[in-house]
Amino acid sequence: MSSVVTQASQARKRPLQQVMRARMSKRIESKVGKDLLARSAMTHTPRILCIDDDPEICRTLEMRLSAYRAEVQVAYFGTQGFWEAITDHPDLILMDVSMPSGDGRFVLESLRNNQATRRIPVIVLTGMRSPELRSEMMALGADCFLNKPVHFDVLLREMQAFVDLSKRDPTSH
Amino acid sequence: MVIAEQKTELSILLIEDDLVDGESITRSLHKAFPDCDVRRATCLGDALAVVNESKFDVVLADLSLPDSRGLDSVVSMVHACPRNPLIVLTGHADDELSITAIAEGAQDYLVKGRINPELLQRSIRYAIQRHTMSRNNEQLLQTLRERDLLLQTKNSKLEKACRTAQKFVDNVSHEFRTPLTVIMEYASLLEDGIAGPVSEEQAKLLGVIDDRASDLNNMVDDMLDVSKLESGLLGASRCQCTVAEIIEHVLPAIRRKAMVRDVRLELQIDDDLPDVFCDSAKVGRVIVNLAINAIKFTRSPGQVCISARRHGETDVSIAVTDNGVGIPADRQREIFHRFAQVKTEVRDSTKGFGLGLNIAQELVEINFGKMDVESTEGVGSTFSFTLPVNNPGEVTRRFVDRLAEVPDGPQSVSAIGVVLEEDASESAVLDVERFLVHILRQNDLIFPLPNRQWLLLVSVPTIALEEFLARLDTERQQINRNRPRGPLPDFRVEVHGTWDVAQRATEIVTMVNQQLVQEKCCVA
Repeated sequence: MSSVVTQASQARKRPLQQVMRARMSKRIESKVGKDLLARSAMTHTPRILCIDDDPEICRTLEMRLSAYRAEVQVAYFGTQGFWEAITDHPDLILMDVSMPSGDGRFVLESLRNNQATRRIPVIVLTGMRSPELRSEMMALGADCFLNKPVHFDVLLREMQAFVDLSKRDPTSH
Repeated sequence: MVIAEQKTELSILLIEDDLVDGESITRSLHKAFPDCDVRRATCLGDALAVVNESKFDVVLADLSLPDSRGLDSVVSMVHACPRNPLIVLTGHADDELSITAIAEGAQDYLVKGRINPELLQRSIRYAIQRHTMSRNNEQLLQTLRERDLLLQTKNSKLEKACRTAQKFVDNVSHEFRTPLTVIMEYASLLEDGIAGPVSEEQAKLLGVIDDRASDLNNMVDDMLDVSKLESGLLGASRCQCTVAEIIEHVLPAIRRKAMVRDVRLELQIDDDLPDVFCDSAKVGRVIVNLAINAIKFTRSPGQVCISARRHGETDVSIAVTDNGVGIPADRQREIFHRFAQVKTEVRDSTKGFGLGLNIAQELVEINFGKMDVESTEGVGSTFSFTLPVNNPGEVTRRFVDRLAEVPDGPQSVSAIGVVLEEDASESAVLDVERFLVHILRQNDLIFPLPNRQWLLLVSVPTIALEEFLARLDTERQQINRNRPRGPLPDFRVEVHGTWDVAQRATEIVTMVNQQLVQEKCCVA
């Protein structure tokens, strides 16, 4: 853990503009490069990490995405989520804000300050309605901010901006 | 309060070491006040001893005494007997000394050689009167200070209580949403056949669960809005927005509800609509509230239309039309009241709290728009509201008008310029703007100017302006301490001026226009 923390504080010194630019180009890449991705989709299944202290929320996502070519990992508290992220490098992270042991702010900040996880897109999903929280999370480097409850079609559309989600072949299911 | 003119039996203390002078002054005193009682002391020590024993109406003291000289005597006497007016006696005229003596607390200054009964009489009367008045003033001031302190304590306690209550409502609503999310998600999951096949009838029932849970969610939103409106903690981040984007953002939820209730939803957004100036999230809530109401009250086959068009030179109007039961003419005003709901036989079970329209109206007013309703019984209703186009002069005019309309509202508006140092990055500029928006309340306004500048219109009374600036500074320091990326870039804060809302409204608008023109010129 200590090595991670040290690394994070060093990374913090990188000019913000540079980080922003890198993130923007990453987002553009992921959209432009969709055709390229489609070909490799057969081999690369997007891995999605869901960090939420309510196991039922994680489970609904697992069930929803079982119809899609995607792999879902779950974490039930902040620090666990961060560890999953640095060890497993998911392609997308869905994350709650208020969680025990490392809230969303902590996780997001740690992700963005870590070389290995800096570029992973993060969708924040929270029951809090505060506009300040929204700006705060976006400023910390979230890619998208959604309010719970969110309908799956809305969530799916947002997720598809970052990863390629295609329906599984029903026969193989 | 003792009025000197009414009292003739004065008790006077004369402090004089020279016997001849003492006799002469005592004689004059008896001439001036025939019934007076003169007590004599020859040094400061004796005087201080008797002053504590008995009450005197006035003290006359020579400045050069055996045990004290000059101003020291004045200071000691004033200190020893603050309840007695003091008149200083001296052997020679010295303006500077007299002014200093009076500054130290003496009431008057007499030159011994020139004392006569008339002068004494007048001087003593005035001294007593002035002294009484000044003591009275001190007492009032003291009371005022105590009250001020008491109010401040009460106010900070209330503010804290208010915030705690708000925090509680925030937390409760958050706690509500977690189970709601799970209920809605499982219902729609089952409905979509993901956990196994369901019959058409079952799917329909599951759709109802999802729909009603979303009603509950909207009620939580309403409660949150009402509590924030009531406590005055509702902020408003108004900025340039596109109408189509606002509608698009809330459309999925409305569309889903229309589908469940078999209502046909139509959308008519005019092309080339100008941008508006508003808080997009709040306007979105208004559209959702109006649309949910419309969907609730349509009659089968239900039809609801959301439209947006230009309304005059300075407005865009957004309307929600239904083919519902309509509202009787005499009740059309009443429906905007909190908890009011038109008594209707249709779908009694779909009633909410009746908060929706009231909140919608208040949110529209926060955005400087007007709400309107046109309804014919048996034909349907159209609820519409306006939003100002993105024109700072016009927005300012409405802002000022709104302030003037609020009962017990702010009386004055201060214009504050915020200028960012040159070398700030784009995201830092955004962070500063976010911070400024966070600092403002719903009765304040912010205009971004080019060149990393902002113009804030803050509606606090002149007397509280310092307090606002102090709050800005405290919050800035607090954010700087907690900000993961280090402190916010430095910005300069300048107060351009303060205007009275009722009397100088047009000047505020002119000032805003000038500021914007100036800045544009600078950029050019």
